[in-house]
Amino acid sequence: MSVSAIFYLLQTYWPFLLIAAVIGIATGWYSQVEGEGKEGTH
Amino acid sequence: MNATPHIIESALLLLVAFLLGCVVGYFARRFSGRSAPAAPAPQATPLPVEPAPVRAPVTSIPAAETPPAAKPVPAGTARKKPAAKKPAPAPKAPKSQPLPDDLKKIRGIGPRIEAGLNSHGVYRYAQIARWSRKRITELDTHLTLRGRIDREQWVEQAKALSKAAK
Repeated sequence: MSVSAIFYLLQTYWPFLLIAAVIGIATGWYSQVEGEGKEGTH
Repeated sequence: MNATPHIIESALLLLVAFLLGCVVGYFARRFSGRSAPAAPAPQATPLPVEPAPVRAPVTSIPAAETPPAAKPVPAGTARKKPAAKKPAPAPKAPKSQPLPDDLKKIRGIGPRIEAGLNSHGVYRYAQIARWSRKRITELDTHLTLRGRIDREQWVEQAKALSKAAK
């Protein structure tokens, strides 16, 4: 996987990557257990 | 450039974007403070309040709770209002009774969950230490804990804290 291939893919498929990133953000956001991290000491 | 050889690369990039999004989303929520409002615990069915809760001693009764019948009533009319027979619920906890345990000492319990537990009558480590499987399931559902009681071993922690308190 060359750098040029990566740039090509980024240029061509960036909307899909953006969608994947948005889905990932939503997943990360809602995967957190309610109150965890705010209340727990772990 | 032929795109077909890049299927794997595309999939890898999508995966990387997704994983990066997961990390960003996780930390965004974690450090966003209270931007995500806590979902209220479902209260469809009232949970039985555990026996013998030790509440903080009430030093004064708010004026709103004082029934108007507390005023001097003529003897003949006193029986007309049954509420007048019991002026106000006197604080049941005498001063010698110990204060509620600090449930926040249990790892995983914070102020919000402690308040939720208090609303279900849980004030002491000993109460948590005695929780049955059914009770754990009930509280897990009502407080939306998603298995944290077992995962963070609240009962075991409460047993240890209860022993240490004695």
